[in-house]
Amino acid sequence: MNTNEIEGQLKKAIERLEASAEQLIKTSGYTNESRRLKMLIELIREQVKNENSHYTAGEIR
Amino acid sequence: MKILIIQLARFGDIYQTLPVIKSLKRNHPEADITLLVREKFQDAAHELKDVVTVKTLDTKHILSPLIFQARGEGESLTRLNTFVDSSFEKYDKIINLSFSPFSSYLTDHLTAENTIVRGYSRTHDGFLGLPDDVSAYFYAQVGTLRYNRIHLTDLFAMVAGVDLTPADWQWNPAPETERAGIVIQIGASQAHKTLDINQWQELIERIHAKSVTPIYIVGSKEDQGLPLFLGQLSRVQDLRGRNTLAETFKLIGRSALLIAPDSVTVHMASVVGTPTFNISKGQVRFWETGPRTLGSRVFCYDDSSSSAIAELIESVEKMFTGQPAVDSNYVVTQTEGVVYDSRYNEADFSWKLIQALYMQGDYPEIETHKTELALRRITELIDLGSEQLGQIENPRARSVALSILNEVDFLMNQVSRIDASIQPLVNWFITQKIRITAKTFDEVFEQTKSIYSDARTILQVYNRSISWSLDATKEVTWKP
Repeated sequence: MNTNEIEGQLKKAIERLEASAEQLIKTSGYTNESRRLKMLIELIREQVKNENSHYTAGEIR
Repeated sequence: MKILIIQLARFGDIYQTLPVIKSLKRNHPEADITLLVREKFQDAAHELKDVVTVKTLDTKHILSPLIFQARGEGESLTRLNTFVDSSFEKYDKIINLSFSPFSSYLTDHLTAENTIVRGYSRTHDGFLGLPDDVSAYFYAQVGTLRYNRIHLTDLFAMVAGVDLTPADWQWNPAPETERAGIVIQIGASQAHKTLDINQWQELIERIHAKSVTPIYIVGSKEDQGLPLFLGQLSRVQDLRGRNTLAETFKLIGRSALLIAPDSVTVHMASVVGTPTFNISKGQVRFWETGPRTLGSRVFCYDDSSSSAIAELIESVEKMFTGQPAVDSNYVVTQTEGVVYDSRYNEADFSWKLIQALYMQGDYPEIETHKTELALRRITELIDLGSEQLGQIENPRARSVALSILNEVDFLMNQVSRIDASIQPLVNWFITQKIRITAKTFDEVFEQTKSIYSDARTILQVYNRSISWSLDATKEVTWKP
């Protein structure tokens, strides 16, 4: 799998997880479950942002 | 007392956290301190094995199902849950020095009822939580294209709630009298932050010709691909790709000088007291991440013209031959806060504005029409917002008033396009609004009113001196 394909896959995963998190927050508020989803989304987002960089955490601060 | 420090940035940030850890240990000798770093960057914690418990976040392990399996997010979520549920204890204090969204959710997740939290977290309804003033300052004023001049390590210490003493910077076991040699790091955290290889070649040859000391070229395996011709330079050792981080750390601790662009070695040198010549290129904020050892120098440049490189070579020569710095160099003259000084007097309206907003400094005088126009627009927006706040208690006008208030927030962000130098004021306002943590509508209303009132007080300083009749719009049109 090349870099663009990985980035595309991660972006699609973010979209799906965002939709799930939004739905959860709408129905149950900000809970332990939605927080875990948000954590995963942000962990992926850090990677997407740096996908073409040698440094995986280049822009995290 | 159990303390968790979350440091999920890169190698350099981990080294910059060392003095804070030493200070925490000094202030709480009985404390059981855990440091969380990324698996990929854990090698930078080599000096901490006997000081703290080091835990790692293995992003690759958590995310690999997402990359290698169709719809692998379920498995990735399971792995993340295992990590957060099994890796941590209940902490009395969590110090988040990562300033990232992920770390804010993790901090929130690990916060128990009596846990003291410093650094980014989340509010009860999931918004970004800025529980302390330093974190709010960081959010508003620190980073690329911002104007902060307080060094990152001091900001880390302030977030952690500790003072740094000279002893907190002493991580060097080698005696000062035995220092010898010059270490040169040619690579940087990003390629655009360093010289090109021909310029390094020229610089190394000049240093070799003018010195009698050993010269060590250090760097990663990736840096080995940059071709240097060192065969004729008898005192140069090329150690690129050969040393571990711990070995490079010790080498820098034994050396008399480090020459490096923005890179991990600069941060190593700061904690082992090695004078550093830092080559700071482009938008690198050396104020925040530059060297700390007294007498260290920073050379800033944007272009790679031959005159800039000639000045760089002259500046380096002056440093290793013990001559005073050239006027354009910044020199480390202080041990905390804003540590750099220069004879070159640059315009610093924005930094003075930050000092006025946060450190009881005087408000800077307006120097340009653009600044004047931008402040005028901010005043108009604050007046508009204040007017709408007056309508909130009227049920029939409330909905429209709230819409306009949202627009004010949006437009406030656009005003700095007129003049970027007023960005600190805009960022301060936006951040104060983010910090509203009230649970009821009335509480949110009161806190918002208070922020608008503070903004009006600040702007009064300028409204007294601005002649609104001045037609600054002739020079600048507002295009949000």
